[in-house]
Amino acid sequence: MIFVILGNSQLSFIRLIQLVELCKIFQGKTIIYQFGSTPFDPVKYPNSFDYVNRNKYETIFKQSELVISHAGVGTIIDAGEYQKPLVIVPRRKKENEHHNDHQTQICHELIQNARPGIFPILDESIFEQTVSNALNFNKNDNDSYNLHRRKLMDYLSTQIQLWF
Amino acid sequence: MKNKIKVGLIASMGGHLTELLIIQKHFKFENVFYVSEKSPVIESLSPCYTHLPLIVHPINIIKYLIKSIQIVFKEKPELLISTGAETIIPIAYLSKLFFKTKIIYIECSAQVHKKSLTGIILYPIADLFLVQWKSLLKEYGSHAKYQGSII
Repeated sequence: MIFVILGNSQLSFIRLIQLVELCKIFQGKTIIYQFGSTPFDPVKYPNSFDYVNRNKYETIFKQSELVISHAGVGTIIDAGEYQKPLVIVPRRKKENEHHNDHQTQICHELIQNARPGIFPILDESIFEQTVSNALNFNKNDNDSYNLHRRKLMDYLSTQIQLWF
Repeated sequence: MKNKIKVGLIASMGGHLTELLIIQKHFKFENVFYVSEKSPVIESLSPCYTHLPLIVHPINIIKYLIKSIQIVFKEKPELLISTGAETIIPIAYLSKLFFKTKIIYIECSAQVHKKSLTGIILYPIADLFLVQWKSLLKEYGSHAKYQGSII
């Protein structure tokens, strides 16, 4: 099962649907979309939805072999929490997919400072290859998830202990 | 660490709050209170104080300023932790002034190259001011630090 999350910034993100639908690697796999604010035809996508409650979202996220998403902070954090490989495609200002380009900036940073299991895509032509890499990502390498988060928590912990 | 320090966890809804809750998931502070905008996520937490979005109506800002005074004097926080945005501003200044509260401000990871308005306002009084991307360090002064990130 593949979970595709388009995000909810009041603007559509049709480009990501097109990228997913052109991908031959998904043939025979179930794809569930969370369309968010992007309009969709419920007849064409019977398993998909605009939003679901947090419990259902979490269940689908955990059951999926791969998550593909806009480069929203919330989804990237969730992928770390649930230890799922995540392919992220940034919403762009010039395509009227977001009000600014912070998602592209986050992808640049995540390319320079790679996080295991997070696969940012700035160039659409490598979408299928990246998805293939993400599907083959070694999910047993759990220690490598959330390295930067653990560093931050350790630092906060030391600082708070100094004060109190 | 002193047992049961009084901690205020404060963030606006969305990514700010998601990041803050990851911090609480790690630390499990027991003597805690939450402040955020009204949303299903925050209402499942206790005790919590909520307010309406401040940008929409100026009257909400005035109401929230009054509420902030009530929250600060009722809770007397020893430590505040915030990942932005504007929700933290009045509570941080009031707590610092009246209770010398320690303040940890962590710029939200959506701020990659550009300072946030809340970050600029909190910078002078935060005891610990963290950014989540190294690229933002040069935008702030030497008081800002990078020590890892939630993403």
